[in-house]
Amino acid sequence: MAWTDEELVARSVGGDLDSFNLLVVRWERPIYALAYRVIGREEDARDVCQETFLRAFRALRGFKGQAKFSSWLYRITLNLCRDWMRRARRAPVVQAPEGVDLVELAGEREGSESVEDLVSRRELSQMVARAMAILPEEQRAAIILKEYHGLTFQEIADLLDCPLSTVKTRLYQGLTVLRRQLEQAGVGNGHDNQRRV
Amino acid sequence: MAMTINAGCDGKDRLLAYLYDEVTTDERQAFEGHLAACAACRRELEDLRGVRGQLASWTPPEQELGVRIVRDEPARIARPWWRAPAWGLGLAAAAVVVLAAGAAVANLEVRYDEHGVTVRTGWRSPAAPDAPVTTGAAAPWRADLQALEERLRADVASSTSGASAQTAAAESAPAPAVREAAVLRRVSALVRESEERQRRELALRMTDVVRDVDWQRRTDWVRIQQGFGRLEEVTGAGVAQQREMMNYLMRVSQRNPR
Repeated sequence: MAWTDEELVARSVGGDLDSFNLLVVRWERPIYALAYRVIGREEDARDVCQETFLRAFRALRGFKGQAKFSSWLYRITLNLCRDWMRRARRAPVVQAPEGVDLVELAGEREGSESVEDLVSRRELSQMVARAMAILPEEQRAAIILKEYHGLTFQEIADLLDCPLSTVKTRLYQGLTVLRRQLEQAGVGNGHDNQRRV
Repeated sequence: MAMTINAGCDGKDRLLAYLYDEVTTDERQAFEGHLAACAACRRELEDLRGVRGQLASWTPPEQELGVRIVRDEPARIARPWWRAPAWGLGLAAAAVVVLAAGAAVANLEVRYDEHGVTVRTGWRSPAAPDAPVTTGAAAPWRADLQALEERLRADVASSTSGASAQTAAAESAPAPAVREAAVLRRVSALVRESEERQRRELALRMTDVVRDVDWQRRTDWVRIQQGFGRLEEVTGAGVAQQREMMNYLMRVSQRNPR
């Protein structure tokens, strides 16, 4: 039976480095994905990911289990992303691929997906990234935590230190702006895309 | 088309809760009842689902992350021996003591003379330095090893039988302090026995080394002697041949006087 996060945290606090590295293995991809979606740069997201685990390791004794370990990690990550954006005075960026390598693309196809569909998916992904980059930081964080990490409204409220109603407002406003942006970009009706993707 | 919520539709809260499935069964049924009657909320819900579908296409690039936390190794700073840490000197002293103890136990004797380098231990007979090394059952260390083996077997047998006795007497066990003292005594005895075994093992190894060195020395000596012998034979034959030639010339010259 696999160790739970809480068990691994307890063992890590007791000095078991291997247990902490099991937590790292378990959470490094979600943390990297969160950082990437917030700041939009692969290398910086990687750095934030590493720094998140380093900070978590150093502060592990201060983690009292009042929240889930993953929520604690998300909070550290979001703080680091915020620091990164303030330090660099940057808005989130969208890394556009330089040219499209069809051979490389073909390797990314899922199941019976055609190359045309794959190119469409990549383009849609780029458009969503651009639309997300326009959103205010609070709305973007709420949407990312809800859509890609499956947190509940209450967990997001706890993580972002704001009331539940504020979370819902940010989500709703963010989704509204996204829909408008994607419409302007020519993506069209959302449900058609949903069926296609 | 702009998204709007009807004034009579309780705002966005119920819609969002339904959209993300954070509702109870009753709440779901109630809202589905409302959706059946409210075209604006149905459209709104479809639009939001469409946006969620588009969001699903945004995936971060694959990265080999491999983040691992490792402990810092303390930096090694070169320093003169007189500033070495106390524990380092202690370790060095301990190493010297162990070597000296090993040499003492093995009754080690290192000698350099006309026979070459000789390493001997007290386990060999000192009266016969050039005698072949015997490996028969009469070697004294074999008797010691046998005695040690018998003692260890007896200890193992007594500890096995003692375990059941201890279980039986668990309820009338002495106070924890007394038990700890007994355990400590037992551990100390085991440590002493282990050290004794290691000393004997060292002596045994030393004996093997001495035997091998001695055997190699003798082999080399025999080979050198054989080499010299062959050289003498070659040179002796040459000298005899030259002498024979001289004699022949002398005889020839005497037969033909001027």
